[in-house]
Amino acid sequence: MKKVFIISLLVSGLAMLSFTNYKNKPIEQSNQAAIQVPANVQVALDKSCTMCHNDASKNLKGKTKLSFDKLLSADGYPSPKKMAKFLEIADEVKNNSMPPKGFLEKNPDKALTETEKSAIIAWAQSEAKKLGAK
Amino acid sequence: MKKKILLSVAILLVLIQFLPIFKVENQSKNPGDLIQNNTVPADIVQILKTSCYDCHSNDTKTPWYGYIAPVKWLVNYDVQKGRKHVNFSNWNTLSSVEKIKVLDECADEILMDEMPMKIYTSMHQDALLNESQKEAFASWVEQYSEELYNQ
Repeated sequence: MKKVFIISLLVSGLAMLSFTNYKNKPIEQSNQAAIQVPANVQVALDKSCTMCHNDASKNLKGKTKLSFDKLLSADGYPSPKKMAKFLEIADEVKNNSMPPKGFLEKNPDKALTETEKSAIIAWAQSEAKKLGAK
Repeated sequence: MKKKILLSVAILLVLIQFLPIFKVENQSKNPGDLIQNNTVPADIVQILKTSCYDCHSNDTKTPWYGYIAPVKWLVNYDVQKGRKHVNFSNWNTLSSVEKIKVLDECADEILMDEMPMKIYTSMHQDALLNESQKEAFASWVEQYSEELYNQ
């Protein structure tokens, strides 16, 4: 009977210890937060960009140069790279370099409208600013 | 007839040498140069000097055929275009943000074999970068960008 009492005392002691440890354990946080995309921008990106620029893309060049998965997730690209990518997105869309001409010839429905371009540019520039660009 | 044609071509070739098209000038002093003013690891200096600086700096090493028109025009056109896009001799005139953006583009283009240009590596075999050099360059870009970002 004594044994049972001692064992249950030990078990509850251990349980309390582990609970204290759990409570004191710092919450692991990434130093970056996931980036939110406004709905109108998301529609434009899904239409003309993300099919090549995602981690699972078969377009090696597209996914190496830019992956929206890595750009938007908290544990994706490091901050300097994210900033650079946002500035590049704004430039490429502004200069009509993206989506590429060859791609648009085959997929004319994927062309961005002027409103969509403006929305992407404004969003990309604003995210770049948040990351430190002037 | 054949002689006349040959003579005309020869005269034309001589005359075009004097056409001032796509002139490129080097500068001996470049106070804002990337390599001269920053701590760049030796392997990266080697890559920059061998594979980038001929078109992307004020220190272009022109091969002998680069002095003869019409090849001279093509070489100088590429150098002009290259310097306009990125000129490592003027590196310190860029802001940290601009430097980070340029570095990111450089790493991407090198990883994708877009740079150095094929026309350049066909004449400069030593400028071709192997996989470990490309990876070393990309790692340096990441590290240097982080330093610039935290300045």
